[in-house]
Amino acid sequence: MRCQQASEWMSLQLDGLLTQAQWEELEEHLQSCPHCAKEWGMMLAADQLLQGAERVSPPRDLVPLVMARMEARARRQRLLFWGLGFALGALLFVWGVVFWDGAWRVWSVLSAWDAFRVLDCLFRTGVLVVQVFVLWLRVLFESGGGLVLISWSCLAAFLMILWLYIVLFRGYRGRRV
Amino acid sequence: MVEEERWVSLAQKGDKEAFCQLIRAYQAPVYNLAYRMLGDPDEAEDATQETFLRAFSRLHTYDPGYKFSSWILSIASHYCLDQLRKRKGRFVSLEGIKSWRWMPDRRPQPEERFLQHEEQVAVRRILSKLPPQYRVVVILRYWYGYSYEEMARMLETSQSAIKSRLHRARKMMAKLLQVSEETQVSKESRDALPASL
Ligand SMILES: [Zn+2]
Repeated sequence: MRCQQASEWMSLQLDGLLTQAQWEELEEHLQSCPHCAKEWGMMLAADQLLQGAERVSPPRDLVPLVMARMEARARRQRLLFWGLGFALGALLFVWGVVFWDGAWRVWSVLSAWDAFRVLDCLFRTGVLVVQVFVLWLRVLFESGGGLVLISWSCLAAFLMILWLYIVLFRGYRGRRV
Repeated sequence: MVEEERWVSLAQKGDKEAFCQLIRAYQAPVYNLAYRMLGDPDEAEDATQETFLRAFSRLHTYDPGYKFSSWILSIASHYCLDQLRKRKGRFVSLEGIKSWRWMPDRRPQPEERFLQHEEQVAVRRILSKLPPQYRVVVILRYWYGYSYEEMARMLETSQSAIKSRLHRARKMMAKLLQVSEETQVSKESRDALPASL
């Protein structure tokens, strides 16, 4: 028997998982190997120490504290929900105005194919907005996601506005000249 | 435990009073686990509260086929492991403060009303020296008596991983005890020297 295996078996023995035959084999090794015998002694000592360890109890009743936290978190989530709902609504409103304005301008100036491409892009943006909204709802119901949620929403809003600005007011105005 | 099943199913429907009953029933084992993992009464109290908040938001994922106690302790274990990971990411100076916190005389620790003071301090010190992944299996094994199979399910790993973590943890603890014994002996012989002169 090698020392490595003996050491593994010692741990199993402490959990009562060695067969009688295995234990005898281990014992035989322990009698011939002082290094392992020493380790076994120390493992037994650690085992005994832990067996005698106390269970500690909380210093006070935690029920009211947990309930208070739960209430505070629910309040914060409601606030976040309404705040972000309002922001998203405003964003959609602005997006709608820009969409119709931009679509009208593009339609009146460009070829049908270009107009189609712009509409396609606008449609994709819409899909993105819906996806962000879904993600946002999902995160709302997981705890501790507030900060992540706000960052993602801001990032998405920023990218969308940037995209609208570039595509509608830079790109096509440039081509019109 | 029929009563407990009733509480769980009521809590799953959003009944807060039923959930309070569950907290009342399990705050002590969860607190003990958190205290053994984190080594600090305040952090343990905080972790216990967070564990129950997490549990409440995940009650719909609880499978009544398993024991509620192992489900809640599994959440607590993961929470404490996360906390220790975050703690490791902080500054080294803070780490110094943490190890100072393990010293016995800082302020009353929960177990200090018990008689075997020194042994309890030794338990705390030994646990603090184990890496979190080893510490958690030692705690689940010694304080809660979980089998390899149960621990594997609770920690979402294999039984052989549990077996090897427990073995390494025990090897490490054996070494720690040996070292502390040797320093004890050398200190005693040093103390004994002037007297014999
Ligand atoms: Zn050997």
